[in-house]
Amino acid sequence: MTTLCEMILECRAIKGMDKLVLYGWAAQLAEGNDTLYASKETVAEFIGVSDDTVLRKTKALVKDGWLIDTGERKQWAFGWTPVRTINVPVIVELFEAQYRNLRPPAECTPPQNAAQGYRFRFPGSFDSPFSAPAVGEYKSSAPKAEDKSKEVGQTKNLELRTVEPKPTPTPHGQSKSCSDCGEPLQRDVNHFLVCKVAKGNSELDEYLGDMPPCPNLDGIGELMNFDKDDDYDGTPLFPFGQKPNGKKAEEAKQRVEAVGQKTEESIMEEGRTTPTATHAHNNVPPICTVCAKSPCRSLTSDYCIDCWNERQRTGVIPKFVDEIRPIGY
Amino acid sequence: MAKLTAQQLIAQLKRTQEDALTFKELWLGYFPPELTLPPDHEIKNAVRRLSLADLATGIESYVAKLSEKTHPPTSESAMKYVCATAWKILEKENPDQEFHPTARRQRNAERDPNSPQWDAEAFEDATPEERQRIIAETIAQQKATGAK
Repeated sequence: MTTLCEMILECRAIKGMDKLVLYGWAAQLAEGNDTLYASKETVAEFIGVSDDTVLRKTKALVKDGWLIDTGERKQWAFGWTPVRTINVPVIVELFEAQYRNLRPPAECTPPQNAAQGYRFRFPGSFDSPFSAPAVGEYKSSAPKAEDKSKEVGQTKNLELRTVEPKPTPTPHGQSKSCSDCGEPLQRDVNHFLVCKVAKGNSELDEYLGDMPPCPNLDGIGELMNFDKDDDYDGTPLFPFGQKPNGKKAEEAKQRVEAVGQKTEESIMEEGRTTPTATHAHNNVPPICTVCAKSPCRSLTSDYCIDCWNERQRTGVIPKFVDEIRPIGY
Repeated sequence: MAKLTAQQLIAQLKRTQEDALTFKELWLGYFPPELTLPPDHEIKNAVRRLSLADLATGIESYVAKLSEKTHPPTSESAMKYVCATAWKILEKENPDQEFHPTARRQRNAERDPNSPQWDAEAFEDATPEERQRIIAETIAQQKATGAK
C-alpha cells in the first residue's frame, strides 16, 4: 500500500463511500505518482462496487476538490479514459492537521499502570514512516531502560546540589511554621509562648522569663514592674538552657536578694541615691555608670551606647549580649 | 520504489512538476514547432521514471534522426524514441538491476521458441511449417533492427 493510500484511509475529513472510491483510484498509482488514467471498470473491480457507483462518486470527488480533472484524455488501443490528478497537498495537510491538533501524551498525566509496561498506543494507528504526523513519534514520556542507564552513568560528572525543602502546605492556607521547632504557626495562638525550642535557645528568655517580646520600650516598662528595692542589676536569674522551676528558682531568688542587699550597701557607700536598673520605671533619668553623660535607655545595662560599644569591643561585654540591646540602638 | 513519507511525497510531486517544465523547454528548444508537445501526463510519467539527463540525450539523438526521416514525425513516435533511449541508458548504467520487461520484449519472447516465455498460442494454431517460417522471419527482423 502506498503512502497516499494510507493517508486517504486515515484522513477523517473524507467520509464514507467517497473515501472508498478515492482509495480505489489511488490504489492504481505507483508510489510518488498522483496522475490517474485508469478506467472506472478497473476501480469498480478493485473495490467491489458497480461502475455507476464509481462514476457517481468520482464526480462528487471532483466537485469536492479531492480529485482534479485535467481535461486530458489517455488514448488506449480500444478507447480513451479521462486523466485526473489527486489533490495530494490538501490530503496531506488535513492528514497532518488531525494529528497536530492532538495533545501529545507526554503532557498528559501518566497512567497508573505505566510502571507495568503500559505504553501509549495511538488508536487506529499503523506502522508507517510518516514524519510529520509523527505516528511513531508519540511515545510514552517514561524513558527507556537504556536511556535511564545512560543518565545514571552521567551522574558522576554532576555536582551535588543541596535542595532546600519546601514548606509543606497545610490546610486552611497556613504555610508559615516556626523556624526553631518546625511546627506550623496557628493564627489564634502565640507560638512564642508555647515553643519550647525557641525559649531554650533564646537568651532573651533568660532575662525576661516567660514574658512575650514587647514591641516598644513603654511596654517593657509596664511589663517589668520592679519594686524600688528590687535593685535588679540585669544578671540572669537562671543559667542558659535552664528553666525557672522549683528548687533552682528558689535559690536564684535568694541569690538575687543577697545581691540586692549588697548593692544597696555599695550604693550608700558611693553616695548614689537610686540604683540605675530602676531608671526605666522611675522618673529618674538614666545615667551611664561609666561616663555619666549620655542617658541610657537600655533595659539591662547601665551603659550608654558609646560605653556599651567600647566594652563590647574590649571584650568586657560578650558579643552575644548584643541581642538584648534595646530597640533604637 | 521505497515508501515515502508525506513530506517526501509532496517533495517528489513538486520535483516531477519542475522536471516536466524543463522537459517541455528542451522539447520546444530542440524540435521544430510542428512537432507538438505530448500530453502532460505522458511527460510527467517520463520524468518520474527516467532521469532528465537521459531524456535530454534521447531528445538530442532524435534530432539527429529527424533529418533521415522521409515522412513527418509525430509527437507520439518522438516521445517513444526519447523514452526508449533513456531507458537503454538506464539499463546500461545499472547492469545488476532487474528491470521489468518492456511490452516489445514480452512479445518477442513469446514468439521465440528458445525462450522460456515461448507461447505456442501466439502463432494462432499455425502449422509447424508456418511456425518455422514465422520464427525465421522474426529472428531475421530482430537481427536487422538490432533488438535483443
